[in-house]
Amino acid sequence: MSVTVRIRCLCIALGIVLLSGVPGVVRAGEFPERPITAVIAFAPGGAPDLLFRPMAELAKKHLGVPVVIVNKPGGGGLTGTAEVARAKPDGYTVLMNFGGGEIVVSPHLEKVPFDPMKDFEPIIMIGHYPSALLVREDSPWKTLEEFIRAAKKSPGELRYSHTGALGLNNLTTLTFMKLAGITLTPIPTAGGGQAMNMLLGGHVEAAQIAFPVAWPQVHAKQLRCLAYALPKRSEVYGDAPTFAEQGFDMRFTIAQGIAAPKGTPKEVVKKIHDAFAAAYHDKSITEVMTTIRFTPHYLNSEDFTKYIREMYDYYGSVIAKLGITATK
Amino acid sequence: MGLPIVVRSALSAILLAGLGLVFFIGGLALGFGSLAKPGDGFMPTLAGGTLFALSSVHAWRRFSAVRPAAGEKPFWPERSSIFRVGAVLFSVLFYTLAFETVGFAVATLVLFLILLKSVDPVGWPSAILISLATTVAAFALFQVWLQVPLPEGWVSWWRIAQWIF
Amino acid sequence: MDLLNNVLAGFAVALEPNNLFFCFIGTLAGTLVGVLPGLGPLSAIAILLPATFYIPAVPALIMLAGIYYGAMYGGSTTSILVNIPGEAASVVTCLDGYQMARQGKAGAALGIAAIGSFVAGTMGVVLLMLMAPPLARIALKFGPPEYFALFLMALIIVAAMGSGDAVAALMMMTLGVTIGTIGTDQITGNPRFALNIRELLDGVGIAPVAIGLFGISEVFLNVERIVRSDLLAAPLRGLWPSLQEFRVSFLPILRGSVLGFFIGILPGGNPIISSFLSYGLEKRLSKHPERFGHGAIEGVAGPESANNATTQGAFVPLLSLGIPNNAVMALMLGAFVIHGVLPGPNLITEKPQLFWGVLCSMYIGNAMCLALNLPLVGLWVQVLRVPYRLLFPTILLFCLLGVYSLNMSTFEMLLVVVFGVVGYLLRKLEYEMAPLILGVVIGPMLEVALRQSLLLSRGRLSIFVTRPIAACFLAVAAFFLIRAMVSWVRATKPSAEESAGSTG
Repeated sequence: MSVTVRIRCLCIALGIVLLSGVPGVVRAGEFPERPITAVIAFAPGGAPDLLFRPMAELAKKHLGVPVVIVNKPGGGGLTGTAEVARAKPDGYTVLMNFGGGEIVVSPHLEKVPFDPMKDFEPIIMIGHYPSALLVREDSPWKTLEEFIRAAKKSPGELRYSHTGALGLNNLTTLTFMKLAGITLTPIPTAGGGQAMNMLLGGHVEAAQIAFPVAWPQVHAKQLRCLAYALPKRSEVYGDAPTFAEQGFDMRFTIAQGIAAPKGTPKEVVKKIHDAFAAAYHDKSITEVMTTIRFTPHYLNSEDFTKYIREMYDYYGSVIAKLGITATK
Repeated sequence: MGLPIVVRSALSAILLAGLGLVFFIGGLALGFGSLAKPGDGFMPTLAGGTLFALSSVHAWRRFSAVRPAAGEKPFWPERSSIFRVGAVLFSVLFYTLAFETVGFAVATLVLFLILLKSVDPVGWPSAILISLATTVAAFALFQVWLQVPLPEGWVSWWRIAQWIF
Repeated sequence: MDLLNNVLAGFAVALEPNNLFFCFIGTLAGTLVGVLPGLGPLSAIAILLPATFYIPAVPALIMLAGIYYGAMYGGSTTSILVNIPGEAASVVTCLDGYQMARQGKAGAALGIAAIGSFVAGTMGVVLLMLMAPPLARIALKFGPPEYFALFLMALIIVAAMGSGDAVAALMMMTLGVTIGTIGTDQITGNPRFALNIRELLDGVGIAPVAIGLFGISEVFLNVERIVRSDLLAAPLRGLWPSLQEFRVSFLPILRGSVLGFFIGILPGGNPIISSFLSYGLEKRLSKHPERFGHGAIEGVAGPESANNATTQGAFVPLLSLGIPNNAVMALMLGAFVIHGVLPGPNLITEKPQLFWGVLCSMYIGNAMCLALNLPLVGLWVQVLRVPYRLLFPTILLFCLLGVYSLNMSTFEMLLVVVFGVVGYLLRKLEYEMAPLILGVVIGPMLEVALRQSLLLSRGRLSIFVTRPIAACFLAVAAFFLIRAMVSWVRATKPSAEESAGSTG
């Protein structure tokens, strides 16, 4: 019996020790009571990570609970996004990279496991960044023109990596291909970091990714940006040329904001919004945004909802006009 | 099950072959694509097909192989093995299925009581004490320290704990 | 020399008493969480990250490092003591570590795991110091074909190196890969074989499979007989590896460290792969390969060093390309960004203090883990002394709750049970579990690499042989496969007497 008694005592002792060592705060019923899960639907290291991890740290000061970032890559952003759409609308699960291609582009091209307009409650928009077409610094094409010529000579030979067949980056390339009349072969990856790796390693000839992800390499003269998809040049992106100035009227920016599943109570949404709005205005975040070449653009919940609706319709019309279909 | 080991082995291989076939067909249904553009079903078909092939070969070999001369291991080492394994299985299944309905506390208590009394019986006083102690300790560890929300079910531990502390 | 100065400065920061204290707390907490089945380093960090928010950046990073190493070590602890992999990278440790424990050598196993990890960590730091930029360039050469070949090679080696029937092992491997296709297609996002069950959309999950196949099935196997005593089949022999055991482990630790480090530098390199490869390597190089699976200490020393070295190697892509391999590195990335630094090719030259500060803090975490856990070995081993009839319900409970705490999903608990039953039946039929779980883990990665390779080459299979690295790996895989098939054919041939008897 003695062994049993010993174990019994151990169990009880352990229980008491653990109970008394609790640092947790117990608040009755008020949001938030426990950590919030913030989902980023891409592999670690992409643009959303760079921005939202520091913001989450600041936001926790206002919320009183930690905001834990979880990467859920797959399906070009669809997997993680769908997961948040299905999650309980209690404010403890939010989507960090809301507003990108998965929301405004993919639904036009294929059936997606959520309704972009109905399944989400946009909370706050943080800003946006453009999609960019990149090649290696040592590749033979110094301008977009030369690249197009090479592509015309050997259709389908040139390969580019992207972050998801139905995503905004790929849509940029598909539009570009239609407008320039060329064919390139798409190679899907799980995120900007991986797509860039493929280019750096010489496995593909070009990459279409968010500019912020590529910036360190462009800055270090390892990669060259042939064009990026803003209507006008921005000094944020140095002297890289836009698609527009080279004859292609293309506007493809990836909006980034936070959203919760539809049905999340208004007070909860407001709390999250206020916390992140405060983080947005923090000087350190402004520095981060400059460091990673992100264009700040704040919108509150209603404006963000309107903005997403506009972008959704805009991309829908682009796709319809050019007759673009999903490449699988 | 008093089947000789060779037959058991072959049977399992046949089952696995069947499973492979399921995935093989399922993969084709999803769309195999082509070598240049592999589709969703590409891998399941390949994997399922390989499983089917390997398992079939394995089964065939087993059927045509020599019966091993060395001592045959019976499937159940002791007569009461079935009972014990069954008890464990039943209790974990119960735990899993009833977890959210009856709540963490009740489920854990019942689990421990069944296990402690069925497999290698422990006296009632000890069983109850150990069950209670473990339930409390596990609660403290998972809900309080690790902040994992455990379902309340029939007994609201959290209220009790709050009331005590 | 500038380099040395920077390293020393980094250590000076990392060794401040305040930072050491946080490191200690982190390591302790990490170990405790890591011991729980299913909760590995990433879960530990997710759970304990809140605690780091209340302290300034540098101690927070050091505490994170402590949590990470503590959790990895905690995972190995349960693998050795009760055959439950704390997380996927500890699966290999179950194979021989648990057997050693049953033979009374748990202390030696735990000890060598800690020491091996530490040595690997040290070597990792040195290699990082000397070779980070050139390593990054090599790593970039790895594209989808190379990854495919590497994964396939790892799978085949593990299947072919098994002690039993090669075809059976390959069957398990294929079964694992097949199970791995359940969920959402990685490239197109379409559901596959998910049977409309929401939880299956994310795939089967490594934790339920690992815990079920190893931990739960072990309990089923053990309760078949009434074991009136504890898990030990032999008396407990000392708490420290013997001199002989040290000698035997020396080379495996070195080899594991180097192997693990190189796997780690690959963007996407995984401690699971390196631990399995190390196991296969050690078995291949051993003079007595039949000892593996029955308590060979090399089978613990090599893989444990390898998976730790992989963590170190993972720094290379982060620091030279700004690409984090996993969530831990992503956190580091975030820490850099907060300081206004974007890791990229210029980081080491532009901000050496930050780089070395971070690196040294990781190393201190590693050292702290060793210092903390070696004395605790005696305590852990006491777990084995508990009579099994009291221990096994606790094991089951922790397995179930551990999985539940990952995603708050009773479905995943059910999966653990299902895989427990499957594992139980398969093990009774003498099938091996290692190829199965490796298949489940690597299958999806293998598939993505394969499909990307085919897209890159526009369907031409020649891509796998025209690229030297890929061709190399595939050749090794083919070699092992052929060897295994040959010995299989020989072993299962109907005996000569039988056929002679029927004709004569």
